[in-house]
Order: sequence, then structure tokens, then C-alpha cells
Amino acid sequence: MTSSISPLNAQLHKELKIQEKHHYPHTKGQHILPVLVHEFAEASAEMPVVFVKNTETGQFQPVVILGFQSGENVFCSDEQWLINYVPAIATHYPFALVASEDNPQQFQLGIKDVEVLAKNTEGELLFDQNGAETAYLEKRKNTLGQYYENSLITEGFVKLLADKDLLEEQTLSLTLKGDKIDMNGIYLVNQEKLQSLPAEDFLLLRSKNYLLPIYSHINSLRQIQKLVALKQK
Amino acid sequence: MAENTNRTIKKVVIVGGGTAGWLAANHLGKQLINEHSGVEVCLIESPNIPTIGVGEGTVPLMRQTLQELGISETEFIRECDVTFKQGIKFVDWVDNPVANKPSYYHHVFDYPNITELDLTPYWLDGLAGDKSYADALSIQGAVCDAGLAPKLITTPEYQGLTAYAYHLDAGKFAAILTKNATKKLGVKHIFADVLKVNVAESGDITSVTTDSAGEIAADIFVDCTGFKALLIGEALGSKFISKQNTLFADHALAIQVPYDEPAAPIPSYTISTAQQAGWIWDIGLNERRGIGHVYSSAHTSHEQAEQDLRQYIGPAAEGIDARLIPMNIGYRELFWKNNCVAIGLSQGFVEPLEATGLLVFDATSKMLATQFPAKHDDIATVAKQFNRNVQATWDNVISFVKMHYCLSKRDDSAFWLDNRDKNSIPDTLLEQLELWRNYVPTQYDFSNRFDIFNRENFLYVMYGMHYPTQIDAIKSRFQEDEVAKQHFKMMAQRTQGALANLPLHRELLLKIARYGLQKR
Ligand SMILES: Cc1cc2nc3c(=O)[nH]c(=O)nc-3n(C[C@H](O)[C@H](O)[C@H](O)COP(=O)(O)OP(=O)(O)OC[C@H]3O[C@@H](n4cnc5c(N)ncnc54)[C@H](O)[C@@H]3O)c2cc1C
Repeated sequence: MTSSISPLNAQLHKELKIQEKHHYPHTKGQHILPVLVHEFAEASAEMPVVFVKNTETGQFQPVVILGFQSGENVFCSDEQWLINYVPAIATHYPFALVASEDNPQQFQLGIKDVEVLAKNTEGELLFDQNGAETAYLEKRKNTLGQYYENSLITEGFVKLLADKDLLEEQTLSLTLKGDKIDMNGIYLVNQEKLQSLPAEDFLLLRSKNYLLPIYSHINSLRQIQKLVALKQK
Repeated sequence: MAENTNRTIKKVVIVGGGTAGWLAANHLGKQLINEHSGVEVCLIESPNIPTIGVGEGTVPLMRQTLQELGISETEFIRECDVTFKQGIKFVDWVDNPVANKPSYYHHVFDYPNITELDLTPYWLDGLAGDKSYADALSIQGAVCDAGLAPKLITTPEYQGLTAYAYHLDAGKFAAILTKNATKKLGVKHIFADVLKVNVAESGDITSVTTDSAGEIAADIFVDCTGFKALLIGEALGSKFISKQNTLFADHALAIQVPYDEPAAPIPSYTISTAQQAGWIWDIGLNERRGIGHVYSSAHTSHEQAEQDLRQYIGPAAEGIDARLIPMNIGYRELFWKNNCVAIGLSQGFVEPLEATGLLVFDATSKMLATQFPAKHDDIATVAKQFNRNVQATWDNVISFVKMHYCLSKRDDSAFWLDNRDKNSIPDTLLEQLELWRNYVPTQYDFSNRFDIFNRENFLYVMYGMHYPTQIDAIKSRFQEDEVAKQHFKMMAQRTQGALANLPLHRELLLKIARYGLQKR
């Protein structure tokens, strides 16, 4: 599901009211969601954390797996989110950062699904009487800003893994209701390569605090069984 | 240097810093330089004598070479103005040209789908309908026609959904090879003019005298001085064997022109358009096109050749000078003589119809590096093998290039008629073509392991040019009609799949410039 996104505007969006939904229905159709390196440890306790390539840019992107095929998210039921961890990106809705039109290096705050939100009669306002940002909006904005900064750190993490040639494509094969399913285009840290990394490279990973995320990722593959169980319910 | 017996080879000097010199430097550096070998590789390049400055089309072997040399594909693409090449589109080679109705065929890099079953006889038998050979047996002709790239932005470096090579800027390519050889592999780089080559009684080169770096001695010298052949020809007298009586083109007029508009589509193949006395290459790089008219000066004048070139290009060439390049067609009697090995234009050259220059120089540099003698006494034996292999390589290239001319039905100028004169065709090619009148080429017709062009290449060109193989006498051997039809159908499906998935060529290049490709 792609939703329309428009730059936030004090005039146009003066009346909008935001109701946060804690089962994140907008992620219903997402079978993967991007995650930050900061989330690896916690997320890995609940769901597989792997790497895929962004089809637009070819760049590696860490993601959590939520379903077995596109359009499916087994953690998001009609009225609740079924596990303890919610990927940070899911919590930003309906806000997102969009590249500004005159300068693609610059970001501005955007808002999704304005037409739908316009129907809300209750919820938090984004602007006050004078058109100034409310404390609520301020808070949401800060969270997004922090997320953006962490995503740069995540890029650095992924780049180092790619540069050290640690990522390798793997097909995840599993049996689901008797059918064999192959999930392609998934990249994992190769444990042998990690093991035989020159000492200085390994120390570099340690000094950057990347070891915990790496091992969390490797461990998280076991969570595939949790998805299978939920799916088969 | 004292003549002690069987001394160890400790030093190699390469003279010449064109693409051939730097390819040789990279292969030799990679193979020979390490802490234990004690071998020194050094390249002397003249700051005054320019390189030939052309040579922008490659073949897929280049991919393997760059990868082996440890060069990142992303870096190479970004630094050398690179575009992808999936083959050559031959325009107006078969029949006399009809105004505004060019006919063409593709010689693509993907091998034709010959696995357990060779589909060629079935194609000849009409089981693929009126599909061209390339379209029936590969997906790549259609991919080229649609202007698509050979891979996706998510495809790792050096891998493709189809086989590919590159178009590149020759000067920038030499620069990246220089960087790799000197910074990564430890090749020494000296800027100086070689003024004199000093030869001992034995016929070995002992040293070269330079204008600004003194006298430089070495155990082995590699001559990469271009057409001049300063060491192998001028100093050691290895004769040049002309092949002009087989391949007539002896001049090129080269020009670089901008695109009509900056976002114009870039073909992912070289275009070769036949002319009255030769042909025109058209290579699209990112920033510009490189175009050249290769022709026989016995069949046209330089003025006419330039006029034809400008006619082909149109307004984009206005006010831009074309450069006249005389070409020596043929090869040295000995490529390796005494302690001197020729790599590059000094070794040999044929018209760049199939982009064989860099290919042969790359392949023979690698051959030299792999077979490199450790002791002086081994030189003679290794040299003998090298000479045999390299000559076979050149003869194969010459046959293959000549075949493009032999199979043409054009009779609109003396050039095309003369090209079909039996006396101009190598005997082996004549024999093979005779055989292939009634037989489909098999792998046994191509038994030399060092041949650069093999059955796959011959098939695309022969049947792209409608060679009339009559299989009647052997038809009973081909009883797999149903399987063949199935294969043709699958190929059509794969073609549709590729057309739906692959990005436009320029679009992919922009993405690579912006994001890069992943190693895996
Ligand atoms: C018209 C044309 C089109 C071509 N198209 C293609 C193509 O599409 N694809 C392909 O693969 N190949 C092509 N080639 C071949 C390609 O250009 C050459 O293979 C390649 O450039 C190698 O050239 P080189 O290094 O041998 O010679 P050059 O580029 O001529 O280099 C000679 C070097 O020797 C140095 N030198 C010379 N004399 C001295 C001296 N006295 N002291 C010190 N240094 C000296 C020069 O400074 C220079 O560095 C083409 C060639 C021509 C002529």
C-alpha cells in the first residue's frame, strides 16, 4: 500500500486531528519494514532482522520480516499488534520526512493520507490558533529528527558490513502448511567470514559497538518459527 | 651487465604507457610483485608522445580482468565515463543499403542457448518461425533493441542478467589502470623518453637510454610503444607481416561529438554501420559519443571518407575536427624475440570491427604474466610457446573479422566485391565456409583453446548474415522437434520477462553514479 504524502503546511493542515492507533493498521500490507541498527537487539527477540537490497538504489537495508510474501504482516491483526516490539518506523505514522523539492539534500516534514485524517473528529491538533506548532507536533517532529540521525548511523554500519564483504545472499527455505516456501533476496552476515576477519577489522566492529547488533541479527533468524506459528494459527 | 649463466629474472621494464602498457603492468604486477619474489616491474612512459587515444569498445573478458585486478566496478564505471555494451549491432552489412530502411543483426555476448540440444539446425529448419537467429536463441537482441541495461541496480558488481562488456573513455581507462598498478600493485612509474635501445651481441636488449632517467637495465623488456614498435621492431628487427591483402581497411577517422540532448538514450551496444569502403563505429559513452570511419584508402579518398562520416553524424559534428589515424594491419613475425615481448599495437592490429585490440592485449598480457619465466635459460622455450599461441590468436581474429566481409551480399562498390575475392580469404576460412554449406558448425571446428572467437561468435555472425547452410543431408540426425519448439517458446518467455524487469540503460547508469553497485 503506497499512501500519498504531502508536505506539512500550517494553513492546509490547521484542522487535522491525529489519533494514534497502537496496532499500527497502516503496516498491515507490509511484509518487511526498515529498522535502525539501534533496534537490532530488541527487535531480534521477536522477529527476524535481515538485510535486503533497496530496489530503487541497490543499497543494503536492514529490515525486519513480518510476513512471508508481500502484502502480509502476521504481527498486525485487526485490533492489536501481537508482539512486544514495534519497529520504530511504524510509530511515525502519519508523519515522514520528505526531500524538499528545491534541495533534495534537505528534508521537511510530510504527512500521509491527509484525506483520511481529515475525517477525524477527535485527536491531537498540530497547530494552535495562531498557526504555531503544538507541543504534540514538536514532540513527533523531534522523534523523527532523531530517527533520521540514527538512520545515518545505520547507513555507516551497513556500509562497513558491505565493505568488509560480510553480507551474503541466502535463500530462506521453510515449510508452511505443507508447502515449501523460498524467500529470496535476503542477505545475512556470513558467520565464517566474520570469524576469519582480520583482528584489526574485528576490533573496529567492537569499537563501534557493532558486535551486539551483528550477533542479534544472526540469532534473530530463529524467530522465523514464530512467524510460521502465527501464520498457521 | 655480466653474462653469468642462468641468472634469475629480477627486473621487467615496460616501455609505453597506453592502455596496452598499463594492462601489461597490472597483470605482471599482480603475478610477480610480492615480498618474497624480489621481482621489480617498472613502466617507462613518454611525457611527450601521445597515446593513440582510441579503443573504447571491449568484450566480456574485460569484466573478468578488472575483477581479478581488484578494481571496483563502481569506481571503474564512475571514473572512466563507462557505459554497458551487450554486443554489436551490424547495420547494412548484409545487403546493399536501401535509403531510410536500414537492415541489421546483433552479435550479442550471451551465448546462444545451446545446452544439451543445439537449436541451430532447428532454427535453420524454420521451427522458430521468422525470428532472427539472435532473437530465437537468446534474449539479448531484444534487450538491446529496447535500450535496456544488462543488469539491475540490485545486481552485484561484475554480474549481469545478460553477459556484458563496456564502452569506456580510453584516456580515463589508462588513468585508472595506472592508479591500480602503481598504488595497489607496486609497479614503478617513470616519466621519460626512451632515446636509444641498447642491444648486446647475443641479440638481447641490455638497457634503454632515456632523456631524463638515465640508462635503465632489465632482464625482460615489454614493448608497448604502439605502432612505432621501438624495441621489437626498430631495435630487434622482428618483421611486420602485413595482412592488408585480407583486411583492406588501413585508416580511421575518429571524432568525438556531444549528444543531441543531454538525456538522449544511450545504446547498450556498439553500432557498426557498413559504408562504401569500410564501416563506421558509433559508441555511446555517458557524456559523449565516440564515432569513427574505418576505411580502405585504396577504395576511397580521405576527403570522401570524411564526408561520409559527417553525413552519418549530421549537425552534431559541425565545427569539430576529425582525427586521421593510419593503421598497420597485421602482426609481428615474432611477438617475443630474445628478451623482448611485444604487447599492444606494437604486437599487431586489425581493424576494430569486433573490438579485438584491448581483448588480445589483455589476453596476451595475462598469458605472459602466467607463463613468466623465472630463469633466463627458460626464456627461449616460453617464448616459443608464446609466439605459437599468440599467432594462432591473431589468425583466428583475422578469420573472424574477414568472415563479416565474405558473407556480405553487397555489390554496390569495388570494396565489397574485392572482399569476396578468393585470394583475399585465408585458406582455413574458405575451407570452413565450404564445410558449413552443408553442416552446422560444431565445437570441433574450433579446437584451439586460445581462440578468442569461437563457435558462438561465428554462429551469430553467420546466421545474422543469412549464411545458407543446407542441412538436408544430415537432417535425419535432428529428431527433437518438439523439444526444440519448447526451448524456442521458453526463450520467448524469458525475453518478455527480461523486457519487463530490466531498467533503461541511462537510468541504470545514473543510479550507479549516485548509489553505486554492491560487491555482492
Ligand atoms: C582506429 C582505432 C580504433 C580502435 N578501436 C578499438 C576498440 O574499439 N576496442 C579495442 O579494444 N581496441 C581498439 N583499438 C585498439 C586500441 O586503441 C589499442 O589496443 C590500445 O589503445 C593500445 O594501444 P597501445 O597502448 O599499444 O599504444 P599507444 O596508445 O599508442 O601507446 C603507446 C605508448 O608508448 C609510449 N611511447 C612511444 N614511444 C616512446 C618512447 N620513445 N619512449 C617512451 N615512451 C614511448 C607513448 O608515450 C604511449 O604511452 C583501436 C585502434 C585504432 C587505431
